[in-house]
Amino acid sequence: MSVAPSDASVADTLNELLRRTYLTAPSDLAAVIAEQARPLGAHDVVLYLIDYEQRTLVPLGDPARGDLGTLSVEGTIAGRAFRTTSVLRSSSEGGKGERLWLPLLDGTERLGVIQMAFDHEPIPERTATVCERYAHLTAMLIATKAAYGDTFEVPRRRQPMTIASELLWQLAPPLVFATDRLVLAGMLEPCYDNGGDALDYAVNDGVLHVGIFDAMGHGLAAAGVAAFALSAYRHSRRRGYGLLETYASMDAAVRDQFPGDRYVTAVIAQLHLETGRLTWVSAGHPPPLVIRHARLTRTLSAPPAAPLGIPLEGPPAELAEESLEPGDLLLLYTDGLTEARQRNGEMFTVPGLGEFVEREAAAGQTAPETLRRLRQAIVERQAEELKDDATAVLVEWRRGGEADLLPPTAR
Amino acid sequence: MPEPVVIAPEGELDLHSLDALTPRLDEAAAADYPHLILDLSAVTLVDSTALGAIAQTQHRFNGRGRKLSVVAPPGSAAAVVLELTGLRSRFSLFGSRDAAST
Repeated sequence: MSVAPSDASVADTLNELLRRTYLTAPSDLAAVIAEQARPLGAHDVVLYLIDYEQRTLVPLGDPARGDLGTLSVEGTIAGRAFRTTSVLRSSSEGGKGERLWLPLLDGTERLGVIQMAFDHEPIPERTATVCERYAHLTAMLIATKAAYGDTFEVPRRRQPMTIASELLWQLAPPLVFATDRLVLAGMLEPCYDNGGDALDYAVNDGVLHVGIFDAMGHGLAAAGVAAFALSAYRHSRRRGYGLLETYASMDAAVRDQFPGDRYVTAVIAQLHLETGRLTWVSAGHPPPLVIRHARLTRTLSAPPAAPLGIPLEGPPAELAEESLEPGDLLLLYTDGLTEARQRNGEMFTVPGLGEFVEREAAAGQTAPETLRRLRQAIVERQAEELKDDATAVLVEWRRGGEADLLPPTAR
Repeated sequence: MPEPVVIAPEGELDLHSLDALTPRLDEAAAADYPHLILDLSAVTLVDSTALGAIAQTQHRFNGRGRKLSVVAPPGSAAAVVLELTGLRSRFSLFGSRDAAST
């Protein structure tokens, strides 16, 4: 029987980690995390990062240790800790001691998994809880240090990335966020060759601002247009513009910058987190879907405005409005998703997409898991490579799913 | 009154088939045709690139006393796309070539 660390030794551990990491380079962080976990009784501390495809967990760390392989998200204990964001235990090799597998969560964004081995078993609950907090701090340090080096970026790539994808990933917000009343998850595919789709969101003073953008065409030129549209969206949002003003401003910006030969379809929306009031403008984009009670997928149809940057005079955009009910799911997507060809040659279609999300919701899947599984359904069961970008944003409003994204020890 | 010039592509209008269509649209926009009819009745799919090319042609026909009429019968692929993208009201849209000619 091992003894859980005292409050004083936990405080010392966190103090020392925070002191050391002022000057830690990204490539040294894994070693620092491992060393600082020693006073907790942990050894063989290994960080695994999730790859862009969300299929495998890739070990970071000491290159001298050749024994560490990648771990599949399906069918491994590490993968289960990742998928279910839970703290799991396994026997150490050789039968002596026990290991903890903990999700690396930057808030609720799943960066990977951390393994921590202990000589004694069973590991006390209190130690597991301390390690869960240690993993949270580790994930936040990874997110912070990632801005200063490529250590955490390169291992996540299992294929070379196109320049277009490089550009759009740098602009992409974290793809999972949750707070009181809200869970949001995003998907950008194909992850190594995205050329023209983008998404963005911000939670400001009780309002979710969210947008999805699809630039005409494909490749680097389209990615440049999408990046420009995304920047124009942020510009308007940060100046405090309303949705109609944002639409007009983005439309003029795209038209002025790419006169006559480029345009962007988009949905830009605001969700009031207290009341569920949803307002949006569609710029020639597929209408959002609302999934209520895990069934009854409904299209939020409203007269669309023209795509951003189309050089044709027309009537002004109109604001559409809807009241969400607690528990509703809101799905924004691009047509590359619904037009993706499945193995049988059939398109995925809007009803197909709605049914998929209904099934996942009925099975109690979290929003990030729903999109990870959607990605598998669309990308991996494709007869051929995705012809067009497939992008989605899934929002849960007052569904109570926030806590499901946390390890049980943190709920 | 001279007869309107008609361009009537068939099948899928996407990045690939546009290679053939774009030069004809460019030529029509550059020539002095007073009236071009773009008949999309036999088109089965209009992708975003094709939509851009059509919008661009409309833009080039605006003003200068010329007109572009787009034929997209109700329920056709082109009509659906123009409706969904909010562009319907920005074109002179007709249900048949006869209606566009008069």
